[in-house]
Amino acid sequence: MAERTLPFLDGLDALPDDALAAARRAGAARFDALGLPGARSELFKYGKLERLTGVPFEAAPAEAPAALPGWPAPDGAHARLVLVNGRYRPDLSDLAALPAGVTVRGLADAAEDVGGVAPATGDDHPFLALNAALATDGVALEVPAGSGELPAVHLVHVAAAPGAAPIAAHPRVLLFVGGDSTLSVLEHLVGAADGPAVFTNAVTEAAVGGDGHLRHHRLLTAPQQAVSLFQTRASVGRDASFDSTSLTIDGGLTRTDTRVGLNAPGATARVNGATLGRDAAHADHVTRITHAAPHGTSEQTFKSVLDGGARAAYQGGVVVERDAAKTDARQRHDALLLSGSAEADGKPSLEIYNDDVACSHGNTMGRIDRDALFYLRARGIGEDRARALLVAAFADAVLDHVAPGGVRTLMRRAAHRWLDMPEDAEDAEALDAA
Amino acid sequence: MLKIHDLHVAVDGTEILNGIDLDLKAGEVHAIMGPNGSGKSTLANVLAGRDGYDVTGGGVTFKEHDLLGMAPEERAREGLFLAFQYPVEIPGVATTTFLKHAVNAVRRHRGEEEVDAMGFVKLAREKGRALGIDDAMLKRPVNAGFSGGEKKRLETLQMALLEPGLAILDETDSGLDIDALKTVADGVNALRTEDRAMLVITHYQRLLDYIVPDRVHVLAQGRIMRSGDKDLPAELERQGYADLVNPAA
Ligand SMILES: Nc1ncnc2c1ncn2[C@@H]1O[C@H](COP(=O)(O)OP(=O)(O)OP(=O)(O)O)[C@@H](O)[C@H]1O
Ligand SMILES: [Mg+2]
Repeated sequence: MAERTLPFLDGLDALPDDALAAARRAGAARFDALGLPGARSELFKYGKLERLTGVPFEAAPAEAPAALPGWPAPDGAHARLVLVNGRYRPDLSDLAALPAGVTVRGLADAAEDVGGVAPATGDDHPFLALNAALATDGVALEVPAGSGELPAVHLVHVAAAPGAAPIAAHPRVLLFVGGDSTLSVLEHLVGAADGPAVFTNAVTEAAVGGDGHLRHHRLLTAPQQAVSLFQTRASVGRDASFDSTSLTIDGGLTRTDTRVGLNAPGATARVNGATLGRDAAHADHVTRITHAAPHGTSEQTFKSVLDGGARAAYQGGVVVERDAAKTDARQRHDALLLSGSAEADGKPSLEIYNDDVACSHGNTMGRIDRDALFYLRARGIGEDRARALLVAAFADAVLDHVAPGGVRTLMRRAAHRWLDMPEDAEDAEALDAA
Repeated sequence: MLKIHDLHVAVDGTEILNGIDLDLKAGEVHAIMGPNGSGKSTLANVLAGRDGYDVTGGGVTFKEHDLLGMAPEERAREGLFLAFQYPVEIPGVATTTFLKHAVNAVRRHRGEEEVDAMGFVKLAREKGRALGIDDAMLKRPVNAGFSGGEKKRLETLQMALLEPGLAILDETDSGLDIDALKTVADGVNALRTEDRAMLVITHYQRLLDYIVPDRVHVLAQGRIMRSGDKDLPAELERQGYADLVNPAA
């Protein structure tokens, strides 16, 4: 057997010779063939993967830490699904808010279609292949057609090592939203500030049926030693929509890689995100939206706010295929640099194979507006608070796209806590409603 | 209240103010008039603490404190208020949010209790209505897309909410229609008390018909060329600034 790219693939060779094991080994072979992206990889140009390869991660053991880190919950009625290091924990979950037709299954012991996990299909992204090889658990949530608007689902990824060794977890999340149903999910990554490093390599696969709507949110608040990679693969049906908003706050190396196929006429994708980073945080947002059918629209709005030595990159992609006439695709990234050593990169890109389209993209890099800062201070607002207000205004533009409700408030609170003005999130919502 | 002594200010090495003296006492209203580019806004900005100005000589005391050593927010909390000639647009910051932060910063400084979001909305709406500022405007981002007159009304609302001891109005009348001028002047006069002072910068006598000043100064070429009482503007209106700007040798 050829030498593995990453040591934690070795265990696969010992698995019994069944279909699942074969599929997992196929994932491993794909990963080995693709290799870890190197410095010359376009996709990982900005990512610092030595934070991954430089740490001896072990497969996450079955047992959870004695004490789990806590997490804030959204206001209002919602269901809770908890994964600890990639393992679904029904005992910590609460599904009572979900109506009868909605099903939730842990993937480890699910038979049939998603039994035991393996194919994370689609493109040949190395970390998708790695998840295919190593995912052994996760959760599938299925909303039947005609369910209307459901209560929010708070899907908590707890990343916390039980011992002293750094661990790797490979959660899989499957979201099926049938037609005429609206589901709002918040995938929320929480870690232990002082624990060993955790490598989370999550894959979320989503399918949205005709006239269905999936509002997908991510709040990634891992500690600085964490490596957190979140792949999303979504397929959107006729007149259906996939809205995604990812908020990355500090953390070590964090990446979201969101690929959406607008596969039927009239499908819509809004893929938005913000990074709030300081110190040595590094956050990438990678997107690829494929317009495969006519009359599709996609909008991407990304903001990076960076202080200290933090770095962020937005690598946006839009592909308009031959049949996708009347496509409307917009991408923009704006960065606000709060220190001299912070760095941002923005690289929107377009591949168009149809002439009848409207596409736009923009990328800006700026600093705090001195005149605005003076205006606020001239009214008695202290300099730090004045800066925070201007930063919040910049970043909130992303959260303003999120539908009002408990999920948005929770995300706003997290952002405003980073800005050291926690009470302001409540005010913003209250004043908005007044 | 405010004592300016032989104040010299330069911008990028060019002297803009060359020796301003002014003594503004509590209860008084002084007006400053003068040609374009004579340094009126420079004076106002230096008093409020804007950066980019080099004080090359002289000094300023405000309530007996050294004003120029204070940060802009400290000046504001101590009761100095500048109504900007060109209010700044701040996209993304809702006007109410901004006003609430400002009012609470000043209240904290005075040892008063802070107002909560709902209480503040009520207060701002009430004071706004008196100045012709509707609720929708308060929800919009600060000054963003406001008309010239709307910006000036918002400056006046801020003054009404912050209740400053010293208000410096830099051409608050310009851009206002006739009715708004009256409304804004009423707002200013409502704040006129024995323990407050005002410095009103304007080009027009009309405003001074509503806000009758105790003293009027003419600033030209970075210096106060002439001072007089409330009748000086009428004289200037007839004669213009020519004699002051190019004094006969
Ligand atoms: N930042 C700056 N850089 C260069 N020159 C400046 C700057 N600020 C002011 N000045 C110059 O200083 C002079 C005084 O400007 P100021 O704005 O104080 O005039 P003003 O009396 O308020 O005029 P107006 O009546 O038109 O408002 C002008 O010649 C102006 O161009
Ligand atoms: Mg001026």
